[in-house]
Amino acid sequence: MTPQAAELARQNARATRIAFMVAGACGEFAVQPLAPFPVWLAMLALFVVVALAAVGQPFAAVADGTDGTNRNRRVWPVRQLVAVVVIALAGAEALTQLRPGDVQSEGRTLALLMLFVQFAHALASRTRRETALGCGVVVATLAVAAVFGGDVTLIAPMALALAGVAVTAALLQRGVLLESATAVSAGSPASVVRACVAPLASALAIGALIFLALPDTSGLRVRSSLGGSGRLSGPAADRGVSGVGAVGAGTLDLNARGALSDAPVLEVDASAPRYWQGAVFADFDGRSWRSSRQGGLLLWTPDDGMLRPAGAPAPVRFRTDHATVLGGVDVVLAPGAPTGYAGPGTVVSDPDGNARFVGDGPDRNAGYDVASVLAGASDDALRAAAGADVDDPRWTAVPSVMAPRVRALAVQLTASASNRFDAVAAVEDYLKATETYDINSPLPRRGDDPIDDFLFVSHRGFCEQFATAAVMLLRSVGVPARLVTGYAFGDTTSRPGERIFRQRDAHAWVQVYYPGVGWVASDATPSGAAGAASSGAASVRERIAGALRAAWKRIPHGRVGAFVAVAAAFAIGAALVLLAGRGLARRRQRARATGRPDDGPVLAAYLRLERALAAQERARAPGETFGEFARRLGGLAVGAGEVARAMRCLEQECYGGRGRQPAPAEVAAAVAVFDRLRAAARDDVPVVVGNAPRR
Amino acid sequence: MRRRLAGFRAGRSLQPVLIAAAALVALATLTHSVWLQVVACGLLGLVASSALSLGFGTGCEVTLSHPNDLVVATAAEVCFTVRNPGSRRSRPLLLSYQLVASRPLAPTVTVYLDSVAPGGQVEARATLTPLARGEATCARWSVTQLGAFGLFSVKPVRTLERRVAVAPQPATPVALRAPGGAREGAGPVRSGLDVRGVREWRPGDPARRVHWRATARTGELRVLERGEPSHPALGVLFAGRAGDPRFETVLARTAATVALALEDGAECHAWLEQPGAGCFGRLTPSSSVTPFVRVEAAELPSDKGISHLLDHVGAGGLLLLAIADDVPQAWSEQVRAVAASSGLDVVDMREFP
Repeated sequence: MTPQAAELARQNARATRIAFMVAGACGEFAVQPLAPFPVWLAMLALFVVVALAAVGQPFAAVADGTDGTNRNRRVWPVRQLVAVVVIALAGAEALTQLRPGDVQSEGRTLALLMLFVQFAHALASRTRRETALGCGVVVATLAVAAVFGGDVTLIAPMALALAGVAVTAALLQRGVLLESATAVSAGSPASVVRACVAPLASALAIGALIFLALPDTSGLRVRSSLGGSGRLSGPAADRGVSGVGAVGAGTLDLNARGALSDAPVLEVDASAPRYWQGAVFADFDGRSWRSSRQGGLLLWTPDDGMLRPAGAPAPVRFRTDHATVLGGVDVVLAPGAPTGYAGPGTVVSDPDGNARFVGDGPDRNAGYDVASVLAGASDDALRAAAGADVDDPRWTAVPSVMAPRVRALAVQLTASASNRFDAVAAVEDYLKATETYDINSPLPRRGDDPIDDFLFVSHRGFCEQFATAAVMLLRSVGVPARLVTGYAFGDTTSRPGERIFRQRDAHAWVQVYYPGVGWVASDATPSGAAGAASSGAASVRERIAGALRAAWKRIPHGRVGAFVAVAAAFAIGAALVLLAGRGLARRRQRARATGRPDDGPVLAAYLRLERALAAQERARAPGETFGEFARRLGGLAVGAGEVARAMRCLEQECYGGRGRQPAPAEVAAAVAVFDRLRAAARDDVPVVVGNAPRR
Repeated sequence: MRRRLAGFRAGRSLQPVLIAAAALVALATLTHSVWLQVVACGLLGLVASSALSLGFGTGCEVTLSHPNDLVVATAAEVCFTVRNPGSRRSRPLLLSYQLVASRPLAPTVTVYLDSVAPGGQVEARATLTPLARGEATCARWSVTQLGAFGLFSVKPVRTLERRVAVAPQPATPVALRAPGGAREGAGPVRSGLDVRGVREWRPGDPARRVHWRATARTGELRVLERGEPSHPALGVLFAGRAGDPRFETVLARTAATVALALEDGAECHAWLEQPGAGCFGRLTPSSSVTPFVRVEAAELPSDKGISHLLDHVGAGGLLLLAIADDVPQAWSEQVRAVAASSGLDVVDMREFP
């Protein structure tokens, strides 16, 4: 291989390793939600440090002799042995923590394993083939992240990792060709990476089309919902409540999800309650909720300026709110059970208090006043609540198909609770602490018990699973409870003083009956997930702060945790210092190439030419003399004699001393020659490249 | 379209990518994970993008110039001229040139070209150094256009129906002596250097034998008379198989010797017994290399061939045996006896180092 080709191959190897490092780091970012934070941080730092250390190394020959000289030699260097040991130890440790059947545990185990495999692979990777294998490891890491931590946050690392893998593949192939070719005429690796941008963009577009064309194997209606970017960014964007229509639809299927968008539904005062209910569900058959239809519908009639259920007793405590309809609604949305309505349309209600409009609901921008029952009390009052319980058995009914271990869990959770309030708190705390909020949690298979799957298998779900599980656990121990759907939190930043509920703010929560108090709302969904529904800059900041707080909480307390955290921080700092050092070195190198202000005009022109040629891999080789360089450049855009004269002028200017500086005419001619060559290099004038400088 | 698709090839990386995509789709079906589908679709998008990157206006026009006559271990130049008439930068190109023969004569020349600017032209030169003697029936060259990410490539192959001769490696010629004379060592390259004297010019004396100093001194044309005749007539017999290193060395030495003799005005004939038929020919300075290039599997010359050759060389000539080591000694002794009876000396070219 010629020195020029060797230098090109070295540059290519460096670019390949950088691309692979980016791909690997993105793969590690993808599994971040699955792995314990300190371990993840440490492995990421180790991976980056090891990969950075390898950036300058050329690729070694493959041991089996396909493209190298180590034929019939099976070499096991120390680093490969270390890698094998690391993977084996990590695998053994991960297996000890694996709880079969527990998806969360499986995800954590696999994520840990992939982190260690990536690090160990980066440690041992020497050849192109091993780097190609590393790309496979990255894809496998992405697959683990997709299976166990599939979330919208996966898009960025996934796209970057796949791009890194693709660029790595392109550079790997280029490296093979560079080394095997008899002669090369090549640009810089950067130009190869740039050439990958357009194919990557088209790959993204084609991939999206294929995604839309493929049969939906996931059971998710993500395809239609991917269009709503805002919905995807909100962790509380529950697809479980199938939009406004579903709020009043009378059924809620846990095995299906609706598509929600950013479309506004209702605008209320910012000081209004954050939960606005639309439908109450009483009957659960193990798979879906149904609103009660017993007793028929009750027409609301005018009474004291509002429509009220005919014959219904007036509530003791109620509040009145004003709301403006911004989207299609067919139920009367209110902070509590609605008892009065003043606005366009006719209202009917069922015995459970679900109020809905007859026909189409109010038009857009129409306002209405709604009176609703307020059943709030202090914690002490709820603890002390006593009296006759609600006598309807539906509020304590559980489906016959419910798994016995759900009831066993409920009994276990509430064993120490002396009153209803403590029992509810125990169930809520358990769900919030044990289960993971995941808007993209996999749906249970048809026929599987969704509550059993949520509580004991997947441990991942969104508000529907949380609320349903809470209701079933409470009913299992005789506590009257029901599921409520509606809208929660809303967006308070779009319009000052207003709270806007959008479709993606749809939510499900629990109402528990307290004797003497009534139905009291209780939300078992983790507040971090359900509380940040709003879009806008403020909520983004809140989400970032929440994510940081959550990450900090994941660091185990005690000496070991502190040590790991400090070690990880140190490793990241070291990686940053290394990066900064490289950046400074490169900057200094660039400054050297650019020249100094006191350089002569010929030298300055020569340095400009060198820079232009270096961008095309045609710069003067380290062992190439000025004469050889001049001969090589001559004949392309400028005659060989002219280049030789310009080179002599350059030597005279640099080394001639004061008395032997070139004449101004010679200087001008030399500068013109260098500038013409530079223009030719920029315009990519035909390059003649052979095995040796042409003479 | 059919022409475009001809030569469309899948790269080595395609298979693992497709397997990974299929596995991810299957896993997505099992786990109901939509994100697995997204990863799989990303991979499929890369595959499709790579295939499409070869499709739109990225073709280049390539012309080739290459030598017809080569010499073993002597570098020659192959030049590809690549022009991009399109409006987009070309994809990376891999240009290769290969001599097609019954056995490999020279390593395949490959030139890697990152890209060619729209409307631009690039000359890429590479060195071709033949490793073996022989005759290539044609030269085959290909232009491989590489798709994005190396998943696909298009490789149209073109064949140049032009024979390319690879002459034996340059070697030191053997000093030949007149028939009946003792053969003492290799001696100087040119035979007949022992000067007997200067004599007057006779018709037929070559001009380069004129002794200019004596001519100037005497005013008449004088020539240098050597002690030996300049060159006897030569006959060459071949027996051996191409690729045998020892035989190749013998051939190279014989070729150099014959070339020198021809240059000195000697008359040369050769007999080559190839499978199927024998071949007799008179060698000239312009065609002296031809039999040495074509020797592939030279069998032991038949008696008829030998006598035919001896008749043409005539008494006083030299018979050069360019034969392999595995030729039976008895055969060469027999040839010596026949040649001696015809008044020819036999030189076994194997005997020289």
